[in-house]
Order: sequence, then C-alpha cells, then structure tokens
Amino acid sequence: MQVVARKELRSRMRGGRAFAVLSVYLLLLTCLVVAVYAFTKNVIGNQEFGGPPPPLGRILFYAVTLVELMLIAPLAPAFTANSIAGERERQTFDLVMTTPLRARSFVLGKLVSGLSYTLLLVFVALPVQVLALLFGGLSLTEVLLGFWTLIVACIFYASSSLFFSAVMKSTTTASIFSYLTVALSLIGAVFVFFVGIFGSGFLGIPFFFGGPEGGPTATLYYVGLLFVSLSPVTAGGFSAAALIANEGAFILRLPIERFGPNGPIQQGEVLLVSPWVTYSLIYLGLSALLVWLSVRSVRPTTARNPARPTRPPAAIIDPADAS
Amino acid sequence: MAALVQTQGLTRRYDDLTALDSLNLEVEQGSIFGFIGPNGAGKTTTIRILCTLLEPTSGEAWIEGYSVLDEPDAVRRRIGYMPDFFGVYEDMKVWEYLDFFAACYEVPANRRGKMTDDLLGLVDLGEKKLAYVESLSRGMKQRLCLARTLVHDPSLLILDEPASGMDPRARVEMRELLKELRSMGKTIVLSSHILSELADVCTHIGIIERGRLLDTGRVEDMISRLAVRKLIRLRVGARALTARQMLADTPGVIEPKFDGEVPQTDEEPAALSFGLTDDAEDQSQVIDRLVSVGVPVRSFTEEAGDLEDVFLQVTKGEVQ
Repeated sequence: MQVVARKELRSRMRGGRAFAVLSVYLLLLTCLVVAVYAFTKNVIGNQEFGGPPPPLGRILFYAVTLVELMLIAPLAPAFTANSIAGERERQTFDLVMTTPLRARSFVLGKLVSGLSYTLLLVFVALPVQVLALLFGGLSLTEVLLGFWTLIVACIFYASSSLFFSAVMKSTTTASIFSYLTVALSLIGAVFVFFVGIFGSGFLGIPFFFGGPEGGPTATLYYVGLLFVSLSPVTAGGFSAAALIANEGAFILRLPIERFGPNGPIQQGEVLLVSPWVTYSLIYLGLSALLVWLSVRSVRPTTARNPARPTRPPAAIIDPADAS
Repeated sequence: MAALVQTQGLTRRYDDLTALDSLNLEVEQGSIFGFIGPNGAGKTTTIRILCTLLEPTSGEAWIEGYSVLDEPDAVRRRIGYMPDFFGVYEDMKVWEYLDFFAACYEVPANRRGKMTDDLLGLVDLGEKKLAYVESLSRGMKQRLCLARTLVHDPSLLILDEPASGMDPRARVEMRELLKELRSMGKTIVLSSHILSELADVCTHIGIIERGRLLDTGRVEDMISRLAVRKLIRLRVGARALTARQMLADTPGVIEPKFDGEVPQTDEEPAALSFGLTDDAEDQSQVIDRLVSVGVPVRSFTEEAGDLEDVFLQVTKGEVQ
C-alpha cells in the first residue's frame, strides 16, 4: 500500500497545482469568514430582527463547515475517480498487475493517496474553523462534531469514487458516476427530507413529524432518523441542533405526542442515537463495502487452488530445486 | 534442455470465438522463443494467460514448474512482462519509475539504487536517469519498459510485439539488447507478426494461427525441415520463353516465372525464378536440360530458405 500511496502522492504534490488548489481553497474560506463576520455584525447584530442574535462564533463555524463540505464534495471525486480507470486508460494497469503487489495494496494505496489530499484540505481549514471558538457561543463538542462529519464525508466520497474508478473503464464515466453519488448524498437526502416536511404539512401525510391528525410516533422518528442520516448536511445539522438544545452528544430523548383538544399531549419518549452516529455507521460501512468491491474488481485472476497446485506432467523444473 | 514454460491444452473462448484452441507448448530454458502468427492468431491471449492477467477457459500452464492458475504470485515473481501497448507514468522521473516497480517486486530499498543504475546502463538510458519519462522518445520509453521487466531479475521475459512502432535503428538496438539478455541467461518469449523482426534473434519459433499452434521447434531445424522448396534464380541471354516452357515441363520445378519484365520474343534475355522440391532432379540436370534446348544460361543461383518460407509453408498461405 505504501508503495502506491508514495508514488501517487509524489506525483500529486509535484509542481504548483496542488499548492494552488490549497491556496485558492483557503482564500475562499477566509473571504467567507470575513463576509459572514461583517454580515452578522452589521445586519443581525443590530437586533432589528427581534430577539437576541445567535452567537457570532456559532454562525461563523457552521457557515465555514458547510462551505468546506461544498468545496470538498467536488474535489474528492476529482482526486480519486481517475485513479484506477486512469491506469487502464494510460495502459499502465497491466504492468502493475503482473507484479506481486496485492490488489488490496493497490486499491488501498490509491484510496490513501486520494484521501490524504482531501483530508489535507480539511486539516488546513482547521485554524479558520477554530477561529470561531474565539468569538464564543460555540462548544468544543460542536467543533469536533463538525470536523468528524467532514472526515466521514471525505472517506465516503473517496471510497465511492474509487469504486467507480475500479469498475468503469473510462475516467469520464467514473467521474460522472462519482459526482452523481456525491450530489445524491448532498442534495438527494436533503430533498427527501424537505419533501417529508412539506408533505406532512400540505398533503396531510404523516411522514417525519406526523400529520395533522396525530403526533410523531416512534416509527416515524426511526424513519426520520434514517433519512436524516443519509446526508452529511442533515446529519451534521440535526446533531448540532440537538447539541444546542442541550441534548446529549450520542443519545437524544424525543417526545411521543398525540394532539388533544387543548394541544399536544405527551405520551412518552423515545431514545434515539444522534444522527451523526447512524450517519457515520452508514457512510463508513458503505465505504468499507465499496473498497472491498473495488479490490475484487481489480484483481485480474485469483489463485484457483494455491494449497494443492498442479504440476506439469513431465516435471520440467522442480520449483523446489529452482528456488 | 529443460523447458521453462509448458502449456497443456490451453484454451480460451470468448462466447462463440475460440481465441486459443488446445495449445500445447514448451519453451526451453535459455532460448529466445518467437511466437509467430498474424493479428488475431492468439499470441496475445497466450501471453496474457502466461502473465496471470487472463484465466484460460480450460487447460494448464506452468512457468518454472509453478502453475499459472494455482500460484499466480510465484509466477509473477519469475516473469518480466512487456505488453504490446503499454503506458508509462509520464509525471515520474526515469529512476523513480524503475524504483516504483522495484518496490512493487519487493526489491529491498538498499539494493534499488545500484540496480536502477545498472539497468539504465544496460538499456543505454544512464544519462536520462533524472529526466522525466514524458521527455523520452518512443524508442527510449520502450527500452525503459524493458528495463522495468528486469528490476526483479526474472528468469523469463515475456515481450508482446517488443519492436512495434520502433524506427529501424531502434529495432536493431532492441535485437542486440535481446541477444545480450539471452547471454545473461534469460529465457525470452516474444511475439510478432513481422517475420523479419524474429528471424535474426530467435532460436526457436512457434507458429500460431486461429488459436492453434501449427508447428514449433528450433529455427534452423524448421527451415531445413519445412523449406521443401529451394528458390533458384536464373538469368538467360536469350530463348527465355523456351526456358520457361522447359522448366514448366520439368518434374519437381514449382512456379517458374519471370522476374521483372516479361520478354515479348524468344530472342530476348530475361531473369527467371522457380522453386525446386527436394525430390526434383539434381540442379545440374536442370542446367543440362536448359543447355540442351539451346538456352544460354548466364547465371544459376540457389537462395537459402528463411523464416518467411517456413511460415508460408506451415500456414499454407491461408493467412496474410
């Protein structure tokens, strides 16, 4: 694995492109911080909108984290989607596959190199994110949650792009499928979630939060949790909201209610794991599965019966003697 | 001499197409084995199976006694493979390219530096050690790829169309390099559909057509065994038409024809060529017959058979 990762990283970091991407990325994030700071101080900070403004640090942190996710989402496939399909296109794939290098090492090396650069983007932005702590109103748990959400997203985007790179023959097709997956992860789950909200309101369909005729049930909470966990945006957002509402970092207590004539009547409560936990399990589980499938698909041949190999009928050269 | 490569009933089918049909092959240790056949004959399929890149539909193959199907890792450590179309990592330096593959073959890091220098010297790329691969010419890249096949000191080199796309000088250099590698004790299997590429360098050949191995053996044995016709070139001062008619009527003479312009009258000089089977009359008797009908023979020469003759004889001209 180290062999492939070292070679890939050496090529990737050579020249000015890698550093140019890093610089532009950090410049965009810094501009965003300045813009959000100015906006919050001048518009929200004058309290014309009524009520106390949210803490500046929290606004800055979540804005930077969300934009960071939106910047990483297109970059992760760009670093990984061409890794194996590119070897096929460049006709270097067979050369590597005839070496004793294991398919597992090859695939993991590609993953590590692609992921390293993406994670580098997350780490270099850390000072910008942590800057928000200085403005107050933000807990360290929230910072860690945002950071973890980004890392899990990076791992999934890199793994899914690697998978498409392994099973597709051309880098173009692999890139298209990788970007579709990333888009589905970011937009698809959010779309389904809002359809659920609006559906429950306008169509009278009890979905995530129940309809007009009844309050949320435990089943609806579970289904809602599943949908929320499908996207880093919703999973991170809801987990952060729970933290802000003084819920636990791992376990949430949600009420089961029924609408009575004088308002909602609480009938009990349901314990749920925080969405970031299920999100992590789903995304990391999927990532492991996709990497495993990638390893299987790049292996040109598998040893039929290594424990009892066949020997030529007339012993030509005895392997024992040859070695 | 022991066989380094052996296949038994090796078959590969793609749906209705049989790319390789019960191939039984042996390659002697220390030989340069030329795999000859037209495009689509099954050369690359055989090579890809031997290199563990493709599984056969049926049959077995062994390299140094290790089963290609059961022990692919052991086989990979013993072969150096150069495909017909190959790429290089353009953004790497020449030494990095060799170092990367040496690491893939688990060559210890402390040995790689000297090994890289030695191999670059062997393929005459020593001065390009620090150059980027993208700056090399095609011939240089081909030599670099050949050097790559040697990083783990394999006993067998498998080269698929090694000289394709090379200019004449690079082809000559490649031939010399192959001879040098043989003198270093390497066994080489190479394929080509260009006979002249193989003629000078191969010690053994195997002729394959439509997935079947038609014949195999030492080059000189096959030439003497299969070159059943000797090519005779004849120049006459006159009576060329008479000479051609007389040759056509002589038993054992094959396809007498004019080389160059066909004479309009029987008085004109001309050059002719014809084949002579082994059971044909003695050459002196053919000359006597020509002289007896008044043909002034100016020259009568026999040309030795070559690989092309062998190929044509074995494939019976059914392939291009």
